[in-house]
Amino acid sequence: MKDKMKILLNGMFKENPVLILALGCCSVLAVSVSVSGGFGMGVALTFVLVCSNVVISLLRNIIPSKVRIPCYIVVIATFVTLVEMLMEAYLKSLYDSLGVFLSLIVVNCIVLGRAEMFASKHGVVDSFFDGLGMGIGYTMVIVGMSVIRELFGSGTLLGYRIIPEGYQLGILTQAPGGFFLFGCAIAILVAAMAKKGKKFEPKMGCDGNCAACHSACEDRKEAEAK
Amino acid sequence: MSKETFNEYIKPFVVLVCICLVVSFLLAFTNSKTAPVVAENERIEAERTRQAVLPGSASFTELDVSAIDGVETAFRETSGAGYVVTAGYKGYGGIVTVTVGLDNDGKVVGISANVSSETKGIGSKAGQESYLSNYKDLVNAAAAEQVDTISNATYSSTAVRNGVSSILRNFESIKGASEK
Repeated sequence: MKDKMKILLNGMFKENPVLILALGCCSVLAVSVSVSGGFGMGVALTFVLVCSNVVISLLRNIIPSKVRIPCYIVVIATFVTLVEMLMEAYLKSLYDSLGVFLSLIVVNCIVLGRAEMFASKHGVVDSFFDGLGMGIGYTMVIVGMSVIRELFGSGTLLGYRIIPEGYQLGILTQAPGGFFLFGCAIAILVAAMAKKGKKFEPKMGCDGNCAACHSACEDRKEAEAK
Repeated sequence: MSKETFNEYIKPFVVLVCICLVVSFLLAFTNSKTAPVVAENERIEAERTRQAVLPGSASFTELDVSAIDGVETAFRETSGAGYVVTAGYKGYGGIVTVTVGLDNDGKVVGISANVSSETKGIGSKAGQESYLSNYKDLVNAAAAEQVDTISNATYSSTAVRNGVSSILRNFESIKGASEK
């Protein structure tokens, strides 16, 4: 159980997908203007991440490495479409507020990155906890940012007015404010980890950041097999 | 055929096809469950829009307007409070649908426009109350055509204007239309 907890916490802090691996920033910056939208996006992503991790881990010995990326994409797209259909039917307002970013979970680097880096190499239970941890890590960041952006940017929290009209920092609801806050969040987490002496040491050349890595993963797989 | 050829060329193909087949069935099944709910939600949403543009209305009967050009759907309020008519015209990004509530004399009592296909913050101004209220209380189509468009959002606001004037122009024939 202890190692499962470690995998879970890994996704939340040590390898937080948004702040440390810098994956999936696009949706975090775009959706974090309202708390309800941010939370909904976090839950949707966590669901997709857990499901796709489990399925890909189950299929990891069946999927030939030549077609693994198309297979992963098909599995991920399936779960995203499922979430989309269910949300359109039962949570219409959330569906409208997430807009295109819901469909864009398909190409969210976190999901594909975890499939490639973790689920394809680990067992089902481990992959489940990895997906859950990464999903919670993502949700924490997006909700944390949206609380600040909604409270100080629009003066409301979950739609209820907290700060009276006319005392808002309008820039926080726009893209520059999002980037500014994002940078601050990264700095705070890294500083907190440095204080605890937990420096993030990338294990591989690309440390799981498939978006920024151009090396062929085949080589890495071979090196690991040896 | 050697085992190598199979693993190299056939297996990837077979596995991918199988995965795709399985997920297609899964998605088709989910869609068959959610599609009716989505359709029902849309119906309720449309009903709500109709009630919003015609104050004091409750239920509606749909009229057959397939023979009338420039009008999409028309509803008569069951108790006779008036009519709700929709028309769609091309805006900047897509079709702008206007929903107009009319009393029995053909006067505009309420209006709303779906500008979701228009540019946010620019074309979407054509769907705001401040612009749409210009059309309130108008009776004839010529007057609707005199309403100014919004500068910078000419395409979107022209679509709204076209919709309203077309509805007003066709009001008499809508009134005479049979029930669907």
